[in-house]
Amino acid sequence: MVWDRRIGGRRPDRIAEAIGRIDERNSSSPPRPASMEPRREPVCHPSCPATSRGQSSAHHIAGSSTPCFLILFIAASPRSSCSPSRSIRTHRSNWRWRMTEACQSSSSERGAPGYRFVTAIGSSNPSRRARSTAIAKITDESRPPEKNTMQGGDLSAARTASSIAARIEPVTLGQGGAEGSGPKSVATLSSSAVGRSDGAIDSPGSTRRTYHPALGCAKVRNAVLPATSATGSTVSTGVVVRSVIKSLGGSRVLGPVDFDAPAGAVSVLVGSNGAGKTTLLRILSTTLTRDGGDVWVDGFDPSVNSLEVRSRVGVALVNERSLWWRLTALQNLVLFAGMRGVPRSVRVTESRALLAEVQLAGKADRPVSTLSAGQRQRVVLARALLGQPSVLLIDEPLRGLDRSSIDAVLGALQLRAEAGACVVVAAPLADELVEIAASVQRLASQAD
Amino acid sequence: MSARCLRAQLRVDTSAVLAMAMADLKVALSYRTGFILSQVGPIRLVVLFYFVSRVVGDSDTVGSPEEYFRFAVLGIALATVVEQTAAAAAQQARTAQVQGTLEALATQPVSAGALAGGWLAFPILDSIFRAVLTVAVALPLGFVGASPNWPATIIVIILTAIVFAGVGILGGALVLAFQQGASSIELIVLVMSVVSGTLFPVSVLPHWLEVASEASPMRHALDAMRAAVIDGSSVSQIADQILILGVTGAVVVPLGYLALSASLSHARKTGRLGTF
Repeated sequence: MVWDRRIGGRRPDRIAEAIGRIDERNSSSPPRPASMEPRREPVCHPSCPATSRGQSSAHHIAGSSTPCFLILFIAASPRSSCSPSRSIRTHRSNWRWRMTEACQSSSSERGAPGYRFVTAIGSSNPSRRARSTAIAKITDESRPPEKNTMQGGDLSAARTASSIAARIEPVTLGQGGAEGSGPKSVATLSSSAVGRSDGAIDSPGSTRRTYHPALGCAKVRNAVLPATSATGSTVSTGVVVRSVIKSLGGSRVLGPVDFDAPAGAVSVLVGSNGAGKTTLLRILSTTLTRDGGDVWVDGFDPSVNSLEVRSRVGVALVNERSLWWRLTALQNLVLFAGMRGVPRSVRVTESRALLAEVQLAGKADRPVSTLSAGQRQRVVLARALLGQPSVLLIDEPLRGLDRSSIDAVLGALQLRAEAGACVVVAAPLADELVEIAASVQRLASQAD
Repeated sequence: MSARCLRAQLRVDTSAVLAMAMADLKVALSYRTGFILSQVGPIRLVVLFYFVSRVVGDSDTVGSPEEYFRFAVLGIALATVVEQTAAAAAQQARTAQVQGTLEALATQPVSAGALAGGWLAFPILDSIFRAVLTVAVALPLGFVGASPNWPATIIVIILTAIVFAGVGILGGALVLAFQQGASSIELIVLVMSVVSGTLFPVSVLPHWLEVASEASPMRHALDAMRAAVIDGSSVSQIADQILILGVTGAVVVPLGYLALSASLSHARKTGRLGTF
């Protein structure tokens, strides 16, 4: 079956399946197999001005019968239209708002649900733009030539089981990351130098001007880049942890631990309760400082460049109390979007899109206090996705979620990874996370 | 950091301050009854002191009933600003700790100054609104004879807010470092309001306490405010008080910022951002 070809570990048909379910729910129609899908008028993303004008998304493909798999466009203004001729455009402002949208074709005689959802919202960073473009190509190539085939339950289960068996490669503390582990090695980690999008190479310990995604300006990086990883490779983006230790209250709660999470992939960190997974995520997100060792997040040391790190990371820790419960889910996201420097004109649009992505479109205007624990957890995840962070730190994203929510969350994380983000997920068990994981690394308990 | 980066960071911080202020406003409005009652709180005091002024007026110390009523109303109005501003950051920090939003805020790309500004913005604006409401309610009750010098009045209000915002940031730093301290700030402000002549002239205090009250910035703020509003004193005529308030603000605000930064670092080291 040609579908053995994968993008970042998650089969495209699974993504399409999940997105198809989202479509079904959004249209309030009962779910049905993809093969029974009637010809539907495509629907654009809510952010598309044409949608608000009541136009169909046929304008995306300008009458072409070729399915529009993925259209990159930059919304130069909220009123701009996303036609192919304007698919990629530059914006003079610091913020460049690019939405990668896969539109369902109006010519779906083949019955394929296609890909339809917003993925990354990029910046003007050339490397990111190049990365997203590359991903668009990959996705395009990976699309099935025929209709989207839904896997049978038995086959899917068997594949999942074999996938689990193939991918879990426990890594003991101090042995470095699981670079190259799993069915798909990540190219970034195989690089032997600190690569840059322009092909230049930074020497270890150098300083250079770099792009600040939230601030939209160049600034001098004074963090020291890692020389080489434990396996001899070096990374320029993503997360690198070397011999990090942390003690709280006089007792060791973490490490020494080595951990690598490259950009463009989902890295899963598993470990028993108390192993230090959340502690490590807190260190990476600058809410906790390490006692020893080295950490780089997107090339920055959280202890030295905490503001730069915070502008690059989206964090979802297991704490549903971290929301304003008296406010609605949408209000929460819009307010946090303001704190992340998201332009005012797109805060509501982006927040609604993210809530829809985690299957909470219908709950957007309900107070958080009236949501269930699983729904609040998804609001927290949506908050972490605000402002197109280049590093996502997610703690136990699937805890207490039902199957459809799990699919939605996995799809959202995988799409970010495909867009070039470094996604770090911590969980006590790998479970469904292996579906999207590029690597699974085990953190041994301090008691072990 | 280049000027462009500074401007960009300022833009992000401003956006964050506005977002936090908006969050506070929306949360406050979600408790409708409580919000309305909190607004009418100072009005209750105005009505109360209207009748008190009828009793204690006509003396050498406080003057006629109308004079004492003006004196008390301005004291209540400014005390509202001072107390709320000084206690705001500590209360907000503690609330964020207990509610769990503190750690989420700490992962946002905002500086410590923006965090403090976000905690203070809504309380300051809310307290100024209440102060204006207090004076507005007092007008039909006999708050007459005032000839305010508006530039001087506005300068005094701004400087007072700045000084006590600095005190408030210090309180927020205490909360972040020790997970308590809000009540300490409230106690200090309470003592300050008693010895600074909020509701009675400091001349009735024991001599040593009257001298000690010179160290209270609230006393100078009240003196300047009454002079500007009641007597119509110009900026130059209350330059001494303005200078004292300005110098105090120039010391307290940076001190508060440094303390807050240190407390945040301490909390990040000890893992207290996520606990309470």
